[in-house]
Amino acid sequence: MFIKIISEPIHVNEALGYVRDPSCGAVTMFEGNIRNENNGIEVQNLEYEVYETLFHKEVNTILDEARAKWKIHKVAVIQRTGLLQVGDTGLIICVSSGHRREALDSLSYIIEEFKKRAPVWKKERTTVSEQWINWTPQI
Amino acid sequence: MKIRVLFFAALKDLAGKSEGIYEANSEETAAGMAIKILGFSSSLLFAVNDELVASDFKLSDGDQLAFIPPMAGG
Repeated sequence: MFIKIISEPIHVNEALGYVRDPSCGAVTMFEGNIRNENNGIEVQNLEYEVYETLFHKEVNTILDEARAKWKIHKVAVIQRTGLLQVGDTGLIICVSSGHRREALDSLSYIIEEFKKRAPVWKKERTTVSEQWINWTPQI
Repeated sequence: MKIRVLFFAALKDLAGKSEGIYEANSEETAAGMAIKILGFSSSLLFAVNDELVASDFKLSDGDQLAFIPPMAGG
């Protein structure tokens, strides 16, 4: 398994190259990109923050769970951190397997669990506000 | 005892720093430290020495405690 956090642009081929294998007829990929709007408001940029040590542990656990459920060959996860602009890629997850069903279902599981459990936060700057997505303390 | 506390995302903005060293009483819990430092503990998860723990986890001298706000990855 390949898990990486970087502050430079993500190169998709690094993840795809890692998971591709002659034994695998299927490769699936999730690419999380910065959208230009949120609820109709223009987005300017997103700041990503990662708790790196816990990220590696939690993502490893999620990938182990996926391996226990499906026969998958390899998984690559690349998380970007720092300031990202509209159109930039913040996350890549690639999965390879012998057949498509395992690659599709396991990727869906991994991204859903990732969203709930990977210690990643995003501060969204729009034309009207700046706030951490999902939660702002109510003091 | 002394505890190193890490703040992330909205909590970092709230604390005005990413980490700090805080005094704690013996038997202090992860959530108890959040209430002392932030004034609340609801909505938070806790990690001690980079492992997720329950809110009533009892801290030891020299521990690193991270306050983890709701995540927003993907």
